[in-house]
Amino acid sequence: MTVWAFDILALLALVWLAWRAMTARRIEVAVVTFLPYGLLMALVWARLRAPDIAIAEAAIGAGLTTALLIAAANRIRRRSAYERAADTAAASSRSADARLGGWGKQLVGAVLACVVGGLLAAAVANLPAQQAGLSPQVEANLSDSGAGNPVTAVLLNFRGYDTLLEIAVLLLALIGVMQLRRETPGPVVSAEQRHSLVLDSLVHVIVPLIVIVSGYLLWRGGDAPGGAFQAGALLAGAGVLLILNKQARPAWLSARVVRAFVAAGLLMFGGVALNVMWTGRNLLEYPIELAKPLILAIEAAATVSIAVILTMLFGGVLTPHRAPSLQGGAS
Amino acid sequence: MLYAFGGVALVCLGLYGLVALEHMLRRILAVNVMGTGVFLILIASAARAEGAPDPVPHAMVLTGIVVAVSATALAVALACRVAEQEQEGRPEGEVKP
Repeated sequence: MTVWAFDILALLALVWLAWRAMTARRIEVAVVTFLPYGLLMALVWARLRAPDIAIAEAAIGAGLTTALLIAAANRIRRRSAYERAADTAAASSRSADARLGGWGKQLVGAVLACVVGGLLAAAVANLPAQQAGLSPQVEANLSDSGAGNPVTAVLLNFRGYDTLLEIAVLLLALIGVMQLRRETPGPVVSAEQRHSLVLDSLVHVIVPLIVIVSGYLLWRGGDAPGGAFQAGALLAGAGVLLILNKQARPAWLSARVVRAFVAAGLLMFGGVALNVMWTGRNLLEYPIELAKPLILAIEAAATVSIAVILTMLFGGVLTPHRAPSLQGGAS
Repeated sequence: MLYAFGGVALVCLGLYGLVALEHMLRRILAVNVMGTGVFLILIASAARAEGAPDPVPHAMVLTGIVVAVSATALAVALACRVAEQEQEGRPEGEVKP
């Protein structure tokens, strides 16, 4: 009974938060609403016995996505505030926040949503009630996969191809975001502006903790919920904090080293995938006895790459300049 | 199964928002809502099994979350650039260094 109550409450809250996140009057409110939406989603994943997804959703879906959107909302609003000072009349009409489009758009949207929703609901209602799906196959081959956690086994062994391409997608997104930066130098940050006491102390306490926890997630991910994506996303959270704290990049972290970090995951994964072919195997077909160390090596490299790429995605959206002080991963 | 229908509701909501909303960031939010709806349908259908849930959809959704955040980052960067260019009154496509 209480579980039913939780289910219904959680779903109602999710739908309401989703609606608020799209249509709150002020864009800042809308964007921030995505954070509780993501966190509630993480709870729902835990309820549906998907702890791996719950960790990833809390770190990526709630944390990083919201950080990206807040940075963007800030950037767009800052520009329009500047505009308003220059040209009040023109900017006020531009900044007038028309949330919903015209009557036609709303009608088209509603009809589309109803049709797609009806079809989807019919499909969901017609699913067979009991089905094990592919879990018997995964169970049967789990001992040969080199990972004890079935989700990790699927990600890095059985469906390694998906994960390989996923890292390539991350890399492509980063290249795209970096191309959109502008040549103008960024605003000069003086030493007094640089440090907020609260953020500074928080960073000193929390960043080492995040590093430890992400190392734990990476190591445990072989046999328990966790893995490269969760660990990398957490590390990226630390990177976002460092960027927000305007932490100077350490000297050893040159642009070349950052690029090496960015490419490490794809190179390692691709390298392993291709090198197993020397012994007459298929792409990504690891030898059974080497599967565990290979998976660990791929995951370690992928964690670093994912962390640096996600951090740089945030940095690229937050500071759209090619200034030397803030760009790049500061992890 | 309740959650699968919840996922359907989120997909519909997101689709409506994507078509009807004006602000670019709101549309990006709508796409994200749609995405979580799809994930919810997948995971709810994976949880139908009696024992441990099917890990294959779980891995797919994990991949999906990472791809969604990449797409969001790119979309957000594009949206910012479009907004800035509109505000500067430059015709689109003409980029000065």
